[in-house]
This record gives sequence, structure tokens and C-alpha cells, in this order.
Amino acid sequence: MREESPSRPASRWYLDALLHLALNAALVTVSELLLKKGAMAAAAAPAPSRLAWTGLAALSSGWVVAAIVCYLLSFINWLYVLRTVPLHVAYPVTNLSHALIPLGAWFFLGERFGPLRAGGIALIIVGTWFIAHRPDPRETAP
Amino acid sequence: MSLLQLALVVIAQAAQVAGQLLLKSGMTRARGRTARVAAGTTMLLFWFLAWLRLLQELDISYLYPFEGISLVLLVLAARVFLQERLHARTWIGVALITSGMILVGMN
Repeated sequence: MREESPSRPASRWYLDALLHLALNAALVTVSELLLKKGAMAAAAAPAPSRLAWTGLAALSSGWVVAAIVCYLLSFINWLYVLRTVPLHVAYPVTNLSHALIPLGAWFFLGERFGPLRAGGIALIIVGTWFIAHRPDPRETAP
Repeated sequence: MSLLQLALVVIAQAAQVAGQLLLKSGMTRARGRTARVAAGTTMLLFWFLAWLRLLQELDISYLYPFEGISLVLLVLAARVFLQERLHARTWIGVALITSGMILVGMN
């Protein structure tokens, strides 16, 4: 990362690229949970239409609109992250959302999962740590 | 999973990888930034709509392994096209995340 941004050190904590990377995973998680709520609502009341196959009818759900707003925010945040963080670090870390989504679904959507899924969540968290952890700051500091 | 759905999954994930490469390449340069970010955004918009449809039709357990494949492809593409230097722990992390995603997708 260092070779990409030697001239623009993140001087303030809220500009820290890794903080924004974590914020991105959180925003994507919220967006996906809202999207799931919207998709469930749309599937429960399908609008008969010639355009139904596009899935665009889901846009009429308020949940989906809220999900898109979160997604747009995460996108702006993502562009900021990409200015300094290498893609091979940033993209895998956003997959932390695949651990956060089932956890969020447990707490907010009442979904339950077994030990297999819990193990998968643990693997994702450990894997993300492997990628984001910087044992040598000179090597990968943003 | 029908043939059409499989094709949509593959095209969507290819769009995801290409879109992310374009965004990264755009955000790290001054000239040609807008065109690259616009092209990348278009790719990701297509991915978003395709995924929205697939989520309505399929179980997440069918879709998660493909997300894992696109993660591996993206890290490889970052090395090949963006000349990013990868470390052993990157691959350990990718392997853990991909297996984790497959486990999460299983019921």
C-alpha cells in the first residue's frame, strides 16, 4: 500500500482507511439485511407484470429503497477506501459482511443457525484478520 | 439452478471482478478517473440487479460458493492486472474466508 500513497498520510483517526473498510462491511451488512426484508416482502406479494422477470418489482418496497440508500453510501465509502488500500486487501475484508449478515439476521430477523454456520462465521472472521492484520507496518501501511 | 440462472451468476460475478478492477484503477490515477469509475459503476449496477433477482429465486447456499470463487478470481486479477504484491497470509485469509462462506451457505 505504501507505494501507492506516500504523500497522503491519514492524519486524523476518522480518515483512517482501515476504519472506513470496517465501516464498509457494516454498511453492506445493513444493506443486505434490508434487501432481504424487501425481497421477502416482494416474494410474498408478487406484482403480475411482463417485467416481473427482471426482479425490478422489488424496487417498490420501502425496504429495498432503504437498502439501496445504504448501498450507495457504502459505495462512496468504498471509493474512498480504494484510493489507498490495495484491492487484494480491501475486497476480501468486505467479505466480513458474510459473517456479519447471518449474525445480523440472528439478532434482527429472528433467523437461527446451527454449529456449521457458526463455524463458517468464525472462519470468515479469522480469514479477514489474516488479510487485514499488519504484522509489519512498513510493508502494508496505507 | 437452471442454465439461465447459472449463466446469470457467472456473468454477474465476472462483472463484479471487472467492475472492482476498473474502480481501483480509476481511484488511483488522476487522468481517466471518471471514465473508469463510471464503467466500473455500470458493471457493479448490473451485478446488483442480477444478484437482487437471483436472491429472490435461489437459496443462498447455491450462491455463496460463487461469491467465494469471485473472491479468489478478484485477488488473482489484482495481482495480474494491478501488479499488487500478494503475501502468504493473503492466500491463507482467502482460503479461510471462502471455506467459511461455503459453510455459512450450507444448511
